[in-house]
Amino acid sequence: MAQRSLRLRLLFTFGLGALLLSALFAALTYEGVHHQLVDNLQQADLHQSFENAEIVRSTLYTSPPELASELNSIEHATNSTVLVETDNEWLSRSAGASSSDVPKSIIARVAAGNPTAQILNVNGQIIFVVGVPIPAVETQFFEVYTFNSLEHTLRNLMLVLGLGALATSLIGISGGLWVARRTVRPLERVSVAAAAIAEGNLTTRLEPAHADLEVQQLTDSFNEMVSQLVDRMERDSRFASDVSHELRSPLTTLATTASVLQQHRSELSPVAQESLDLLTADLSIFQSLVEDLLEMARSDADAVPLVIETVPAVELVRQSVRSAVRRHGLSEPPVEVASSLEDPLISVDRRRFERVMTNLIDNAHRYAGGATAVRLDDELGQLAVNVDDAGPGVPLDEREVIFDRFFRGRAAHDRGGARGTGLGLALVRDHVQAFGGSIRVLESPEGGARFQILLPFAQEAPS
Amino acid sequence: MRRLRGVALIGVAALLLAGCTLVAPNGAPQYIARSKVPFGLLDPTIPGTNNARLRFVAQPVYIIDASGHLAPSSRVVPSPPKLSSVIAQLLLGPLPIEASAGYTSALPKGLVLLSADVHHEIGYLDFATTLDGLSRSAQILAVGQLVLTAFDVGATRGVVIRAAGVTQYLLNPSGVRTGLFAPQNFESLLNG
Amino acid sequence: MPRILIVEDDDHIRTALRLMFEGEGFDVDEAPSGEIGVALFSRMASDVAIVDVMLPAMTGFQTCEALRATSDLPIVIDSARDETADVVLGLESGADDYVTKPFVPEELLARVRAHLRRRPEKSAVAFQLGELRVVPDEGVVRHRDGTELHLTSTEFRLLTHLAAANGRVLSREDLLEHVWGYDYFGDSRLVDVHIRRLRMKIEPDPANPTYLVTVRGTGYKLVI
Repeated sequence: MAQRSLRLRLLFTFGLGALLLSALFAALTYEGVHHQLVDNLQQADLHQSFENAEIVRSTLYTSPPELASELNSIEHATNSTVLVETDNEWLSRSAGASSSDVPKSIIARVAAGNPTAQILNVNGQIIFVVGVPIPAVETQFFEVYTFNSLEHTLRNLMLVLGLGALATSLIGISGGLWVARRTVRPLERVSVAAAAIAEGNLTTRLEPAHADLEVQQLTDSFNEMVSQLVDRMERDSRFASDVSHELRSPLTTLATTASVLQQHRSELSPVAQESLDLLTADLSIFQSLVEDLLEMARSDADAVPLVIETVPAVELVRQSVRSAVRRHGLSEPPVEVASSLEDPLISVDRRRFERVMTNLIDNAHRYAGGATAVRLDDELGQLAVNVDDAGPGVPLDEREVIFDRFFRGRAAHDRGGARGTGLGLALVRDHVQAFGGSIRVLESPEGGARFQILLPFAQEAPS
Repeated sequence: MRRLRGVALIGVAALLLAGCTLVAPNGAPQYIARSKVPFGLLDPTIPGTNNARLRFVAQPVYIIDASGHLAPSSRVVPSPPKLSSVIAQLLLGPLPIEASAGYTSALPKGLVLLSADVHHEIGYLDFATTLDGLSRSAQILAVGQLVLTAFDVGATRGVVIRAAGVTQYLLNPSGVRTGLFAPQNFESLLNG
Repeated sequence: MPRILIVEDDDHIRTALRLMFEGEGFDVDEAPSGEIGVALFSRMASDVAIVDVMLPAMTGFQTCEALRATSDLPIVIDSARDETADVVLGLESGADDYVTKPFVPEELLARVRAHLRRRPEKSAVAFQLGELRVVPDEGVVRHRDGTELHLTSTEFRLLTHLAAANGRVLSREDLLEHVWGYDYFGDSRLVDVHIRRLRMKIEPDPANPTYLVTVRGTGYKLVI
């Protein structure tokens, strides 16, 4: 079932409902009136005819010569034509009458002594023929009426009712429009507000102050829900930062005291020295584990807002690479910039970008013997930052999942000594995506792995 | 839901169309109940009379049409028709509607009929005054009117016209003065 | 024997730091709060200070400001948060550097040493900067009307280093290496914030700098 607009549906229902109801009403009214009118007119005409027949009878009885003029005056008075017949011979008729107006069947019946009436359609005109036998003067009286004015009335009635039905339908439709708007608009407002919140504008709330009860309830519930959501999110982010702070202090102490112990290494016994070495090594692993986890938690909770700056890419990459290698005492891979690039700019959070580079170089060091080069290039209209190595590379079936959290590929398992969290690459992807970029793994020119970050070029920004 | 709506629409359309006729003719003549007929119209005799039951018939009287010829016109007279009542009708002249169509009568207004009888197929008409005063052509037409009118009421051999009992000798169409006017002489005065 | 002031409210961390620096030949003054730290400094005149940002009552930033008001000793702030806003705030309060917990103890050591090592470039020639006269020999910047501008040692070093470049553009890495003495740590925020603070002090219109000019893509240069 295709999606329908609620608004249209309401409109349609109202409009159609109004139309049907008004049409029904109009039809019923017309039927009733029509029936009544025709009946009434027939009765009136019949009565008139009876009166006229009586006049004819008394005229014939008292003064037969006046029959003709009497018939004429009847014709004028009642707007009908009259004929009198006896023994199949027309005695007299009014001026406008023609003997063909009365069908033989009626004449026969009336001659047999039965008063008869019939509505006929003669040449498109509706006429009403009444026949009354007057046995006392051995004549048959016929009167022919037209239904013109009745038809006129009925036609007018039909027109009025039709217009009325139309007007009612229009009112119905506008009623539908009004109801639709009243119903649908609050829904639209809710969906707009929900979209705004999904985008991150957490201060969005629906305005109360609406007349309808149900809409008010919706508004209240919605606002309540958002407030709760925001509270929850704030709590989460506070948790992340609270925990982070809590963890940092003891870690600092651990690192520092381990360092102190190392200072006094010579005073220790060989056993103690070996233990100290293990302690120091695992401590640094522990430290990076905690860093990774906290970073992940923070970025999940959106606790730390990005500080996006538009910076020259080459300078930033060089700096990041340098700080990455010097921090860990690694050999520095050369930074090669493709000649087609002219002072490219990117919009990133500096700190996170550095972290990304550090992670990638660290990764290369851990699993591929170190990065061979960091190459900047123009790829499909975006800036490509490639961290290449000459290691075993990443197998095709791992190239998607390698960025998943806690995923440790074959390479990691092969090298039993090197320990990682499995979070490093996941963090890299999260950060890169936060900059509006993407990351993928390919093959490097040296035959190892190429981790390629794609970032959109930024526009000129004021310094 | 859609189907219901469709059905409803059709129903309404049908209703509408059914009522849309203006006035429908009857298939067959409708009998009116005898009880519904007032004034005792269906009584065999005229109410309030002593069992009077009459018959009427339409008899032709001859008047003069716009072209000056004799032309018949119906008059309702009691049946069986009597010469006196038919002639009396003739003397009344054309009906207003006939008069407006150009019909006239050559017989003078105010001519009074004293008596009218038929003996041996000859009609004897006795008027109060004579027809001498009429012009020659009028006289002939007047006589023609009387002769042809009387012809259909039993005076098949002709009429004798008297004025206060005195037989009048008037001109017939051939110019001959005569006392008995035969219908065939006046047929030439008819139209067509 | 260099004297170091450690202002840190966490006992364990403070003790650990004391042990480390003592082991490296420092005289250590400990202060568990900002107030005590400021009082201690006025008595002991330490050569360098490490101030924790999260302090009870008097905050780390306020402590920084208080210390900076009376001396231009190198101050390193350490924070549990790495947010740029905190870093900038710290540097603007007068700190010369920052580290985040948990720091690599050796790194902290090296940075402190680097700060102590630095001396202004006395060999540079005095020069005019608009209404100001910069005299590296005396380590002062004098206004035309005779008032002296107060610059921290880091700011002064930054200014004279740029001046010595004779209008050449110096990259942020270059500045970090020569002004801060950092080979492999520190990030460009340090440089940016100090440049901004310097502009506030010497530029007639800090928003539109005419002396300390940014060269996009490369770094900064001083236009005399």
